[in-house]
Order: sequence, then C-alpha cells, then structure tokens
Amino acid sequence: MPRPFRRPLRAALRPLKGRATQKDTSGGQGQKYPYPPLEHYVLTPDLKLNLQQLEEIFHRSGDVVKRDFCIGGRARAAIVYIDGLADKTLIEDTLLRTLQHVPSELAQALVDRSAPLDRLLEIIVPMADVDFVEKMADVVNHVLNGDAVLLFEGYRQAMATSTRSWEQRSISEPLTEGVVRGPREGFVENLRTNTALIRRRLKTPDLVVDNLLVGRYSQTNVSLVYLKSLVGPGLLEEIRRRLDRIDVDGILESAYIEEFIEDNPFSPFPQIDHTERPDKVAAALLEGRVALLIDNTPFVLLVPTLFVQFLQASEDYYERYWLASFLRVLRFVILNIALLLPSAYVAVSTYHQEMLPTNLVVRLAAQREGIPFPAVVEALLLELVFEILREAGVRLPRVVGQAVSIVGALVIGEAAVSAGLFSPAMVIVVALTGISSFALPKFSMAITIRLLRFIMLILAGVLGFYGIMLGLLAVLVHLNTLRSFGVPYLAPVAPYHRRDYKDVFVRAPRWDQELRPTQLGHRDPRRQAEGLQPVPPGADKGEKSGGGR
Amino acid sequence: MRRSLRAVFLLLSLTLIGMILDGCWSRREIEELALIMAAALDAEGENQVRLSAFIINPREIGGGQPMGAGGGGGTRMPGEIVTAVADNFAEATRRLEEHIPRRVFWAHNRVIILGDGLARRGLQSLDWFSRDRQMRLDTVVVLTEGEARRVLDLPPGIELNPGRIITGILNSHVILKVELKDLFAMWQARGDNPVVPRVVLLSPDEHSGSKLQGREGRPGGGGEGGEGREAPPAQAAPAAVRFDGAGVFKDDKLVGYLDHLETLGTMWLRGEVREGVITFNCPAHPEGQVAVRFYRSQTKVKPHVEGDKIRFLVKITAEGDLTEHTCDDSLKDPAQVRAMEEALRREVEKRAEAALDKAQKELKADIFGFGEVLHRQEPKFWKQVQDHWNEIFAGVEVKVEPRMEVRRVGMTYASVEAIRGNTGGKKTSPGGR
Repeated sequence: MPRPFRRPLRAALRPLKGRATQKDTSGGQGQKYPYPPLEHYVLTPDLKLNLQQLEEIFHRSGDVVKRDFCIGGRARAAIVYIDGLADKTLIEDTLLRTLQHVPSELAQALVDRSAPLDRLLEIIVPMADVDFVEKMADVVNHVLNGDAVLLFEGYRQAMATSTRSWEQRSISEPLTEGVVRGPREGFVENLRTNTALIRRRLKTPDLVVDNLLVGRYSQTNVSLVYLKSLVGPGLLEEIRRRLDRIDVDGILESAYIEEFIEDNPFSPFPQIDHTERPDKVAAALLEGRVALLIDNTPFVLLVPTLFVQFLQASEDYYERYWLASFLRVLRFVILNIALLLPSAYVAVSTYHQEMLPTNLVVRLAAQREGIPFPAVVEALLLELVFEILREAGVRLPRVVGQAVSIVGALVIGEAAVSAGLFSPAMVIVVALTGISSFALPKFSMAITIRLLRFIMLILAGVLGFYGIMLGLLAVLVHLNTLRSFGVPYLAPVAPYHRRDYKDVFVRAPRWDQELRPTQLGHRDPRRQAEGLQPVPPGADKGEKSGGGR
Repeated sequence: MRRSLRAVFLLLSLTLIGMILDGCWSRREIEELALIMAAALDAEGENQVRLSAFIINPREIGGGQPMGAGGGGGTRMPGEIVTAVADNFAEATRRLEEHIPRRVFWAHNRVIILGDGLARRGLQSLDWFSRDRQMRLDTVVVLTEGEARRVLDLPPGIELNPGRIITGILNSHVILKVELKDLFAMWQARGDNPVVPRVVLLSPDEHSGSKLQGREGRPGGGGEGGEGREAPPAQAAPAAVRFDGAGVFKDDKLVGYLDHLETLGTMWLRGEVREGVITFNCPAHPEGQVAVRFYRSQTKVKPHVEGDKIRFLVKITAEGDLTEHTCDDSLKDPAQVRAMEEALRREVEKRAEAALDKAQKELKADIFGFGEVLHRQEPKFWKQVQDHWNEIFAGVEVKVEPRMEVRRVGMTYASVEAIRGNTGGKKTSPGGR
C-alpha cells in the first residue's frame, strides 16, 4: 500500500473504531465497519435506490448477485449475496421458492405495512438464523460474510439470512503434528468448524468464544477461546489490548497476529505456541490458557507459552508415562545436539584435541588428512549444503522431490567425501544434527535452533569451547529475559516451581498430576480429585477412607 | 524501535569484528598435529638430554582416505621416530619441531621411558613434564636399562605403537604401574622414594620362541624396521618388551634395581597389588603345586613409636580363588583350606621380606612410603627424623602380618590324580606348571 494514501485513511477510521467496539449489533461477528467506511450510505424505503447504493459500494463486482423478485406476486423485494460464499441451492430452492409462493394476503400485508416487518417475516421466512439490520454498513458486512440479505420495497430494514457455505477442505489428519495414538482430527481453514472441534471436546457453557475482527481489508475473524472459570485474571484483558492495537491491511495467517502480540519482537525464539490439533487446544484451555483461532488458517495460537512446551508433543500424554518421560529427556538431548554438535566438533577438533580419546583423535586426523578447508569452513559449507537441500526439499513440487533427495544424498554422502572435499566424520556430524533438528516436535523451535547453530559454529571456530560457552550464556540470559504474556518463558525452571516439575523433564502419571501448572495464574488450581491412583479391588475401601480424613 | 535495531546491529558487528581480529590464534587443525604416543628420555654427553618421540602416522593407523595405500605391502609404518638433543626437554621439543612438518602435541602421550643414564643423573630434568600444560599426569613412566630410545623401535604387532604396547601390558593390573603424578608424588615426599617399573627388551626368539617365526614372520620387525639405522648385530631391534623388576630411586637418583620377587614384595608393602597369581608347593607334599589367584587386597601400615624406636606393623589382607591344586589332599576338609591360606601367608611374607631386605640393607632407601605414614600418624615425631629418614629407615623394625583368605576352590575339590588313585600326588603332569 502506498504511503501517502495511508495516513488520511487511518485518521478517518479512528472515530469509527471507537464506535464499533461500543456495541455489537449484528449477531454473528463482533463488528467493525467495513473498510473503507460507508458512513454516507443509508437504507431507504426505496428499493431501487438501495440497490443502486449497493452497486456503487461493490463497484459492480462480478461475484455480487442481486435479484429482484416479488413476494407472493405482490410485494417487491430483492436479494443480495455473493456467489460462492452463499449456499445457492438453499437460496434458490428454499428461500426464493417459499417467498414467491407466499399467500397473497400476507404479501398484501407487506405492501400495506399493516404489521411490523419482523412479525410478518417470522411467518413467511423459512430460516432460523436471521438478523434484521438497519444500516447499509451492516448489509454490506453480511453480504461479505456470505449471508443473503433481503431488501424490501417500502422498508428501511433489511433481513440477513445465514446462508454461509463455501468450498472448504474437509477435516483431515494434522500434517505437522502426527501421532501414532491419539485423535487424528486437525483444524481446517474455517473458523466455525474449528470452534466446533473445540466445543465438541469441552461441552460446557464455560467455554467462551469471543469474536473480534482484525484487518482493514481482510476483516479477518479472530476468536478468543477460553474456559471462563479457569483463565487467569488479567490475561484476557491483556490479549484484547494487544489485539486491539493491530491495525493492518490484512491477516492471512496466525503468524501475522503472533508477530504483533509477542512480548519480545526481536527475539529469535518463538514466544507463542501454535498447533493444528484440537485435542492440544482443549488441553491448553484446561490448563487455563487462551486459544486464538484465526479464520482461514488451521493454526491456532496458544498463550501464554513456555519454553518447555516446544519440547513436548501431544503424544506424550497418550503413551505410557515411562516412555513419555524418556522421550522428554531425549528431546533435551536432541535440542543440544541440534544446537551444539557441529560447533562442539569444530571446537574439539581445532582447539581441544586433548579432550578426545586417543583413538578418536587418530581417526579424525586421518580423515581430515588432505581436506582443503579448516574444520570450521568445512562445517559451515556442509551445513550450507544441507540447508540448501532441505530448502529444496520443502519448496520443490512433490514430483521432483525424489530426484533432489537422490542427488543430495549422492552429492553429500558419496561424491564429496570420496573427492576429499569433506571428511566422513563431518558428514556424520552434520547429518546427525540435521536429523536431530527434525526430531524436535515443534518446527518453530527447530528453525530457531537451526539459526543459532550457525552462530555457535562461528563462535566455536573462532574461540573454541570458550566461544560456545559465551554463546550459550548469551542465549540463556536472553531466554531468561523473555516473557510470554507476563509468564516467564523458562518457567517452571527459571522461576522455580517445584510442583510444576511433574510435566517438564518427565511426564508424571495422569493420576499424579492433580494440580494445574501454577505459573499461568489460573483460578482453580486443582484439576482432578485426590487419590486417583488405581488400587487393587480389595484395597479400594481402605484407600477411600484414608483419603477421607 | 528503529534505534534499538541499529544498536543491535552495531553491537553485533562490533563483536564479530572483535572475534575475527583476536580469535583463531590458538587454532590448530587436528591433522596438523604430530601426536606423540611415546617418549624416550636419555642422557646425552655431559649434561645434555636427548628426547626421542614416537609420532603416530594417522593415515596408516586411522584408515584415512579410501584411496590410501590399499593393501599394498608390508611397508606400513605406524609412525615415525624423531630425536633431538638439547640442554633440556623443553628445548628439545622445539628442536623436534625443526625437523617434523607438524606441531608437536603431547596430550596424547601414553608413556615416558626413562633411560638408565638419565635416571642415574637425576630426575631434575623432568621439571618440564610437570609444568607444561599439554602433559597428562596419568602418562605411565617406565625405566629401561641402557638407552631408552631403543624401546621405541618396538615393531607393530597386535598394537601398532610402543606407547600402546607398554600401557596395554600395564593395564593387566599385575605389574607395578607408576604414572607421572605418582612419580612426582614419590619424589616430592620426604618419606618416600620413587620406584619405577623396568622394561626389558626381548629378542624375537625370546618373544615368540621359534626362531623362524621370530625373524621372518613379522614384516618390519627385523633389522629394517628401524628405518635403515644400522644397529650392531648383537643389538638387533627388539621384538617385544617384558616388565621385569623395578628401578629404585633415592631422592631423585636411580640407585639400583629390584628383581621380580622384590618388586612384588614392594607392591604388597605399598598396597599396590590389585590382581595376581601366587604359586607355591603343597604344604604337605612338595611335589604338588598350588596356585591362588587373588583379586582383592589391602595393606595397612601402622607405625609404633616408643622413644627413639620406631616399629612398623604392616597388615596385608587379601582374598583369592584357588585356581590350581595338584596336592592329593582333598579340599573337602576346611582344615586343608586353612593350611593353604597359611602357606599363602608365608609366601606373601617371603616376598615382603625380600623387598624389605633389599631396601633396608642394600639400597638404604624407603621405597615403601613408610615415612609418609609416619608423617601422617606421628607428625611431631616425623619432624625430628624427616631430614635423615632414609638412614633411620634402614634400621627400623618392620613386622609383616599377611592374612590370606581363599574364597573358592574351583569346580572340583581334589585333583583328578588324587581322585583316581590316591597315589600321593607324585606324578604331577609337567604341563600343570
């Protein structure tokens, strides 16, 4: 958007925004006025004039359908909707047919205005979800959201009927967070479907779906979803405050919102978790978090977010806790490998050879014999090759992907080594590092680690382990400064909460996790009854009486 | 916001520049190192020293590039021996670098071989080994009669370099093992004197038994192994090493050697026995043999001071299993086992006495660290004797009290011979011992 255009428009918008937040008139969405504002358009009793106004507003767009018709052969009316967003069969087969065949005395009543419009329409319109609107802006808003709006000759009111129905992807398995055991439903691009997926898991009136509109042109629906009695005090207000600040052209993905509401916008670390699993969202809500659903993307944001969340997978909770705990510990190892292995290798092989076992030194020395680059350069080059291959693998059309992987494996694995450009040990190191970064459960954390790896590599090449320690220290200090909606990023480790440790490095059995994580500051700390550990049938009574006192 | 971004960039570029300007100075690529695996220290001339080092050739040992010298022939050299003469070892190392293309790297040195001549001159010249930061204090130290340099000529066999060969033997736990830190500790303590194990070079015959095998069977093992260095025929390149006895230092100078038995006795008295086998004749029938393999032992030294008189009581306890027993007594009888233990006790006593005799009467040096025990237990008394401890030690009374325990007698309780004919165990098979 060109700059000079922007300022006056924003100035024009400001008073309207204030008004928009005051009142929620139209049923479906929390409403901001369409953009640009439509102040000087009004609904008139003159149907023709109304249609002319609409034509002007929509600039005669090809997908806006307007049709005049007669109700019961007498009363003139028109229907407006957008082709592709509204359900055409519903409009044609049900709405129009019923209206056209209304008994003539009712139609006459419409013409005569012998009763209020809404009373009359109650009798003749066969739809449940309707809304009476009196402003042109509301009409436009409804039309843009896929509703069909009925305009009547002689009335200043219009009626919006919910006919939203458009082509959408069906619910499928989440691609980024697969599980062996666990629900296979993933979110889709449709906000309504997504809230329903959550609602299906938490059937309580406590589950609140709060709607907002963000984006001037995109008018994206954003839903704040939370459990009213669990969410921490002040958290909702803070989220709303941050969301209200956003005044941009469009929101096309959850990442747009994420970047606007992060606590530290300069940090390389992701401070807001996202997921496409409804079960994960439900679990987060039960811990007192808030989910941000954004229309047109299957990714849901979860706030507040802790560092450890990026090392947890939803399957941790579906597999036996022994294995889950093992995997948790393993992921910390993986994190360290992904971040440090190449730099540790470079540091050890160029500065601290005395730290290696003699046999290893001899092996490595033999492999490096005749390699034309210093170890740092070798590592950097090989990492670069790996990054190129990875990027190619992601961006390429799937059909040629095979070719890339074959060429890549051949180039790195075979030819480069036998040509004496890279040592086999370095290939192993880089490959293991790459695989480790894929083994991290969250991609957003993996890419951060990937970037930091290069910095660590340079530090290691220049200063050895001293450099690595400096780098790690810097990262640690930085992590300690981070907050996610006021919650320390490293909690419960850095502000130490002993009780929360049951779900950090290990995953305690379900019956042992009686309390919700404390650092989120929710209202009800207890998540389940006491003493749920299974006991043999005979001991059951004793246990109960024991629990009683 | 824009300003803070600029600050970040400034900081980042400053650190980067800083790193590039001052970094890398201690960088040395792993393949640029000359890894020393064994070092031989000799005396040279009046007061010069000679440093010989075995530098490994990683290409040959580590496998290296696949297109290396394939399975070519027998000319593979696991390493190179380099020598330099200088006033001291620090300088000698620099001299080494003058004629090898790589940086000398000591951290992987496995063994320091002291030549007889240098040892007699004194350990003072080893200061550099205690000071340089590339040194490892767990490098083993051995002594050899004659020139230490010759030990480096050990041909590759199962192990490829002399450092590995020597440490490999020492890791069997049956031989006195002295690491650099032990040597310095023994040297530095007033109530102790260094004892360093001695290696003896073996000719091919001595090593493998068969002359044919010894001479031609090992490529590179013969005279041509030493890189064309012409050795006199009598001093043909060694085929192997054996540990035999130990050298005894008084303060820092080598004064004499212990033989095998005395070394064992020293180990018992110092409490350094970890594993081993003791063989002796049957208590009742001298023809039969008993062997006990012990695996747990403890030595406790207690000083008793009465006026000027010092007595030491050495309590040795050990546990072991009977591994050979060709006497005709049945071990079903616990009394027999007690008798074995008694014989074992005498055997240990014999070794300890031999070592004590040698140390007190001949060498007049406390090689058992008894002085240090006294230092710890009777610090006041120690103050009076510390300056002439070795002389006092020569006249000190030492009582050795071994307590041996035989834990298991093996899978049978009597020898096959004894079960068969009860013949009195006369005919022990020659292979048995």
